[in-house]
Order: sequence, then structure tokens, then C-alpha cells
Amino acid sequence: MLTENELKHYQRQLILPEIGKEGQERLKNAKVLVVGAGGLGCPVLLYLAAAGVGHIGIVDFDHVDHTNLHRQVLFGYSSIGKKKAIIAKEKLVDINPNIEIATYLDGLLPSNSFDIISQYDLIVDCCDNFDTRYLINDTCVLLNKSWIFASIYKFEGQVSVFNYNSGPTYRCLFPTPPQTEEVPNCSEIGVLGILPGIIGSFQANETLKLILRTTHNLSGQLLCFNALTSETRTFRITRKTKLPTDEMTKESIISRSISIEFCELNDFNANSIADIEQNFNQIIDLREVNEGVKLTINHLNIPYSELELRHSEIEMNQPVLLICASGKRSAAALQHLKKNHNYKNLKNLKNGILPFLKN
Amino acid sequence: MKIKVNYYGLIADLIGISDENFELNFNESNELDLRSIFNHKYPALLKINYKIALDTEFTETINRNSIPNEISLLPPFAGG
Repeated sequence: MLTENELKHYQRQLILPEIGKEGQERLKNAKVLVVGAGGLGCPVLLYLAAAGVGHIGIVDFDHVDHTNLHRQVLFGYSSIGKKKAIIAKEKLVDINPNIEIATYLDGLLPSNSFDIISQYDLIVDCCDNFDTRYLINDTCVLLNKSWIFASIYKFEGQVSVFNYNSGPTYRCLFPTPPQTEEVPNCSEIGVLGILPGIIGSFQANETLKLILRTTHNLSGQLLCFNALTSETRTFRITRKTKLPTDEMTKESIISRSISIEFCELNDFNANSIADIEQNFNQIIDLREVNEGVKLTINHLNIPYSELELRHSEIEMNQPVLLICASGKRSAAALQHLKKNHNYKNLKNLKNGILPFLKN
Repeated sequence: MKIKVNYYGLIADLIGISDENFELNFNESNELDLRSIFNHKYPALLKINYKIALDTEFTETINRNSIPNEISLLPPFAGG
């Protein structure tokens, strides 16, 4: 039953015949998990909360960085250094106190994906890496859940609905994940601030339509939008008869190593900046020039985008620590340098430098 | 025969253009393997994942009897 307050809050959409009280009740009873509270996650969360999706889960392990603010519109200057999921929840509670919000601060991992995803009806993929995207896909296929995909690159975005009524999955489009080093992320290549706003709004729209059971959604279609040309194109995706997920079990997914975990052997867990200084002869900061707060300790800045050109500046015979904001680029750089340039002396700063620069 | 080809995301960055009128020579064959043609012209594509679409349909080949309006090359995007 909708309360008096809810009837007023949702009045402008309740009068739409496609929604009505029945649709609003569906929204209220819906359980939606949003994986990633970044560029895409912010608009998705804003609109799902405002529309009255009754149970929202927010998965994000990351902290707000100054460079997030141009596109991650749930956050402001007072949020810098704080957990994204916590701040997002605070904002959403104000936007709509009629809904319940849960937060998952460890991120989505093979070890927790079944436990978390099984509690929700729909999953919205707002993540920024392929390990998590394939984990969402595979867990959703095994649990028979639909999920709403989107991803962005500079001025372009892709949106689709996967695993809806036995429809196509992400692996029908791209059967196997690319190499981590193959596809750059927003920090390295830049992104137009409004792009995730547009693409995230498409995602939120698909989510609401799935809950409301309207006739059309993007299952079986890949929508591509270009913010420079304002063009959209839609491509048809069909379900493949044979998929890598056919062979998977819950156990095989839980025991999967994703790059964050895969690199554990190469990870360095620092307690402090001093800890870093004492243990390494060379510290390589892979963040882009002007990306976030500068390091005060002796270091060499080789932006990830220049790694291939400048890797010879990295020592091969002494302990070297690679760092970036969150530990993802440094993990990718470590794999690349090990594989292609035979480095054996590298460690990766687990979870990145950001937590140390904020305290 | 020239066909419009659209390059998306990372592919446009790797080859330096977002679209072009691409010359396809069928010669004696009815069907061409598009991936090998694009990989040959742009070796940077060899190391990445991408899909090829003729108009709205994903495929690997093009038949001389069914020429699309455009071809699209789409890589996966990571950003969020």
C-alpha cells in the first residue's frame, strides 16, 4: 500500500496510465542492485530513488576523488575522500526517505557476488572494469537474473538489457574479457562529464521499464550513443547457443581470480606513506599529470598512458612500487611490464594511494 | 566498391579516424571475410576485441549480393 506521502511524491507519474498505482506498487516492491556509484551510478541511483524503487543496493569500494566531481553528480567538495556508497546513500535518503538503501563497501567480488546479487530482482551494471562486468554477467546467468548494462568511452556510450527472458547475455556480444591493458579507463583518456549522465539515464529508464513491465526494452539490442554527433544506432544481438557460462558453476565463479585478487601475490599492503618509503627504492606514480593530490615522497611520475614509451625509466634490479589512485592501473601496469618487459621486481600498492592522501 | 565504415571508441583512436569510405574488392569471390580485411589494413586491430556489424546485424562476412548501407566496428567499452 502506498502512503499519503508516497501518493503525493509520485503524483506526476502515478497519473500516467503506464504506471498508475499498480506500477508504483511494483516500483515500491522492486529490489535493484546498482554496482558502481560513479559516473553511471550517480544518475541511475538518483532517478531510481526519485521514482520510488523501494529497495536499492549500492556496491562500491571506492572513495570520492576531486577528479570525480565533474561527472559524479551525487558528490560535492565535502564528499572528497569519503566512501562513495555512504555519501550516495546520504543523498538518496534526502531525495526520497520512503525507500530502503543498503550499501556494500567491499565492492563486488567472486566471493560475495552470489550472496549479494541473489537478494535483488535486477542488477544495474555501472562498473568501470571488465572483471566486474563479467562477474555480473556470469552470476546473473547462473541465478537467472536480468541486468542492465552500460559503459562509456570518451564521448560514446553503449546500453543494453541482458539475460532477460532467456535473451542474449554480454558474452553473446563479447564472449571473453579483453586484456586489462587493452582497454583504458576514464582516468587515462578523459570523459565528457555529461556523457555518463545521458547513458546512466538510459540505464535508469530501462530499469524502470523492466520493473513496470512495459512492452519494449533493450533486450536483444545494443544501443550506441555518440555525444559529439548526437547520433544513436541500435544493433541486434542474438543469444548464442553455446556460451562459456554453460560450463560454469557457482563454485567455479566463487573460486575465480579477478585481476584485483589475481595480483595478490604482487600486492603491497601499506600501513602508511612511511611504510612505502622504507620498503622500496623507486616509487612510480602512474596517475596522469594533474590527477589528484601530488605525492610528497620521492617518486617518479610516469602516467599510465606513457608507460610503453617510458618503461625503461623503471628500475629492474631494485624493489619498485607501482601506484595509482585505486590500484587498478598499477595492477594492469604490473601485468603488462611482467609479461612484455620481463620485470620481476615490481609490487603494486593495493587499493591505491588515495586512502593515504585523504587522511 | 566503396562502403561507409564507422569506427567506434578505442578503434577510432587506434586508427585515427571515426569513419571513412572503405574500398572493398570482391574480385572473383562472392563473400569476403571482413575481420581479416580490417586487420590487414589496420594491424592495431589485431590485438583488440571488436564486433563487426553490417547495418544493424553483427557478422564476420559480407556477401556481394547483400551490400549494407554501412559497416560498424565496435569494441567493448570499460568506462563507467
